[in-house]
Amino acid sequence: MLRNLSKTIVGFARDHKLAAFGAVIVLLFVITGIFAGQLAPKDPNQVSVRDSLVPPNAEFPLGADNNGRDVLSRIIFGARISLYVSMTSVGLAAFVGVLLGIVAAWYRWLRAPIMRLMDVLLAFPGIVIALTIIAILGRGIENVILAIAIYQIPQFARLAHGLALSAQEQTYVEAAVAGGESDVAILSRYVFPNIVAPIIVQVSLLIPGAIMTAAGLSFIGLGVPPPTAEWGAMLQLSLTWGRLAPHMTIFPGLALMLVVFGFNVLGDGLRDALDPRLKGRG
Amino acid sequence: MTVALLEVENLKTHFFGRRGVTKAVDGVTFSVEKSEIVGIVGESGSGKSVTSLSVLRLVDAPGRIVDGTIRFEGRDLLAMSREEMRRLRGRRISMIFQEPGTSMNPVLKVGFQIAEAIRSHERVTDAEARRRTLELMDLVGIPDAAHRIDQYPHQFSGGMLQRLMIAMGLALSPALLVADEPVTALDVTIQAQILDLLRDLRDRTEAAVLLITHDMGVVAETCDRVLVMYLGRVVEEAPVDKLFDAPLHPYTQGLLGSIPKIEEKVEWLEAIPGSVPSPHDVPSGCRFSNRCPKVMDVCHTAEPPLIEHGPGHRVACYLYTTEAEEDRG
Repeated sequence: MLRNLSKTIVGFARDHKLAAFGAVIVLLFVITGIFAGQLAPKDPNQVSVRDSLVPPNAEFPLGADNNGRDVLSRIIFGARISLYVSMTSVGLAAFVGVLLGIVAAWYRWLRAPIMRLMDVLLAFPGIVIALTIIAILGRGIENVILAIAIYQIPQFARLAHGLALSAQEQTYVEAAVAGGESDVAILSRYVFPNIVAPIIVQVSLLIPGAIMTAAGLSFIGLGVPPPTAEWGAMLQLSLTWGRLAPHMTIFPGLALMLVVFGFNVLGDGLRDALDPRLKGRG
Repeated sequence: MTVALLEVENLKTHFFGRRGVTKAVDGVTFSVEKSEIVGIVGESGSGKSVTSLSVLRLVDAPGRIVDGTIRFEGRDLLAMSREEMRRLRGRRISMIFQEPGTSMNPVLKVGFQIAEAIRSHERVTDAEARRRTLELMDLVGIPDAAHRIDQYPHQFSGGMLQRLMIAMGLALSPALLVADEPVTALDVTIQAQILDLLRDLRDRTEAAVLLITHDMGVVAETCDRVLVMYLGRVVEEAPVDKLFDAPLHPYTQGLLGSIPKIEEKVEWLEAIPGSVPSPHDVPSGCRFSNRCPKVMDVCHTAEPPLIEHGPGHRVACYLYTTEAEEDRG
């Protein structure tokens, strides 16, 4: 089992070099987020007026911000926030969206109500929905997660719905019905496992969107409240100080860009690897 | 007279499509006795598959059972709630399908799926379910069951998968097994093995079988009694040897006449003229009248009833009624 897994990973890395590179970035990001407390050289919220705006040096590898806080440590702790927000929001969206999509496919009478509601949600740009939800519920990390999840739910619902519609027409589903299986058993053991691959791809493609939206909300001051270290908030701060201290703009921006790039190429690679129809193309 | 295991009376299953109503099954009456193998034969579009799906109430929208009664073990299936029906399926009536290759969930191990069939109706421990699964796999003749129980469907051949489907169908010793073209997708030697298995299992488990097929050879080899369907109605019903020795209905005669026989040398096989009319455009009177070589005036007036003609032999044709004799003068 373990050998098969390592074989699969090696094969994937060989066939999809860019995606493997993306996977390395994603892995580094995840490790950084989890072990932020051990990896960061300094307390991210340690203010030191004396070190205000110092450029990168031996003590501050990536410089310090206007309050003299270590940019490297803040980026490392920012990774934790991004990781937490993106994983929970996309996880929540995937769970609710896939459930709605499968249920709407199976119960004909629920199809129009659920899917038309999803269409309505899909008609709004994501950031507008997110802004509305934050405006109603107020700032805070949980509300950011909820806002991102709600605007991603219809994307999962639509994908799962389409896949479930074709999966449930398979003879083995009919055979399960003829065998007297309950609806819950049919949906969880016969429909869901057969549509899971494209959903995994969708998760990996929507995580960077979630990271960007979370950073965007913080950038306009509606995300995680200060002084929490967050990439979007760091970039917002650099609007004022960036001209004096370019390292305040460059490094958080670079971190954001790298992580989003990593997830995107990993997602593309996963899609190619999991979808046999796309094999050998591109 | 004892009550039959399955009694279907005047069953009508219609499909309500955009282009009007398709009467796929239009007044079918038959019964299946305990541990009897009954065949339903007919061409594509004769309604034989829809009949079998109706028995399990598996007809999906836009189709609907519009009339008739289905009594199984004395209970009216059409009056049951969805939940009662679900508990009946797999436990008292089970079904096997045409394509063994797609009838099993590709992402689950076969042993798990057979055990699941048991677990969905009975509370059993994992060890008990596994033991019974192994027994069933032995019963249907899967070699090395202890090893193969943990394999996935793609690791089995079509014939082996059909054996597994039969094992799953028999998991809870149902009284009736509905088999919809169980051997059509298999090659001929495997067909013979599966049919032997069905007969053998019937003898051992006393489960009745309702066998849907378009293949007269399969019928001859397996069934005790046969129903011949044409355009949603039963045109002839007879014990299997009677049907092959002395077919009454011109359609049955045509079907049997179009099979090559090994002992006769003929230049041309007889074919039934024309093709099955669209179900939207059924001829008035007898449905077979526009293709029948023995058509009479009376055939265009009204549908002939299914009338007893000899013990257990029923036919729906005016050739065998008094009206016909009057018609001929």
